[in-house]
Amino acid sequence: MDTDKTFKTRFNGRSITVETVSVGQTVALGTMPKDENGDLASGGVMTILLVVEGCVGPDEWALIRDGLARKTVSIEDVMSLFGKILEKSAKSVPGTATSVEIPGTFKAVSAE
Amino acid sequence: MTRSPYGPDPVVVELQGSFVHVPHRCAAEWIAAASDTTGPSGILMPLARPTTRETIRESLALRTLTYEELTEASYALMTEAIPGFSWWQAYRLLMLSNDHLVVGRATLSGLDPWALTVTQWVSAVYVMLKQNTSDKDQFKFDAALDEVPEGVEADSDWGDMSFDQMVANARSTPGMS
Repeated sequence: MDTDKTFKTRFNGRSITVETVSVGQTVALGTMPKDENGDLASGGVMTILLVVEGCVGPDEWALIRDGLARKTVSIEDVMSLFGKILEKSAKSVPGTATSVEIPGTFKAVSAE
Repeated sequence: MTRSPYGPDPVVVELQGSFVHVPHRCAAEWIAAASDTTGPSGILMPLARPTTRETIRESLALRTLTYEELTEASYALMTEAIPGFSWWQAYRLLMLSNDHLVVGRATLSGLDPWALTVTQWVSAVYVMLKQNTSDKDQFKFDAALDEVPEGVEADSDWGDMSFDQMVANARSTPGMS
């Protein structure tokens, strides 16, 4: 698991420990499917739920899923938790390549 | 067996011990994939089949697949699909393909990225950019393309070469005589 940070937050009246978004999860969120209008497609919501599951861990996710089934937890509660996770994360994908200049020109072109 | 630079063969890369089949994609699709927000580390995702892409995305989201594992597979994909170039040389040439100078010169030369394999395209852009330029500019261009990205380990081209051989090789490089 490529995690480097955890934080505590309140969820459904309890204090839970959550991991911040990993770089891999940032890639998953950055490649969420969009429809022809550029809006998030239905598969995107699934990605968000999987990211929350990955951040809270299997035990806490089982409780959340149970709460969703019993309607003691709403999808808005989960989205609010996702928002808190993003707030604490603020991470970008690291770059690996450097700029290259086209020969015979002064124009520098970023390769990353 | 060496991969043909002209053939539309699929590429197979290993990801977490499983083999991922990446179908043939034309050069234009590779250029678009290289320009994707995921950069070279994630180039496998836009080039993979939709179902594979979805599986990778879900695995990353769940943390059952790490960024490092995706990166390793993406680098392997570029190395396998574009023989004759290191992945970073190929990636830089693909990124340069978005520049209006390259687009213009390629179009005037009759190069169509929708009709060429990625190896044909990368090779053509490399040759095109070195044409009609000074030895000094060619040397600078090659040096910039060859520069190993930070955090990446590359096999040394010098191998077991003696110091004298290294000097002779360096002197035979355009712009170094």
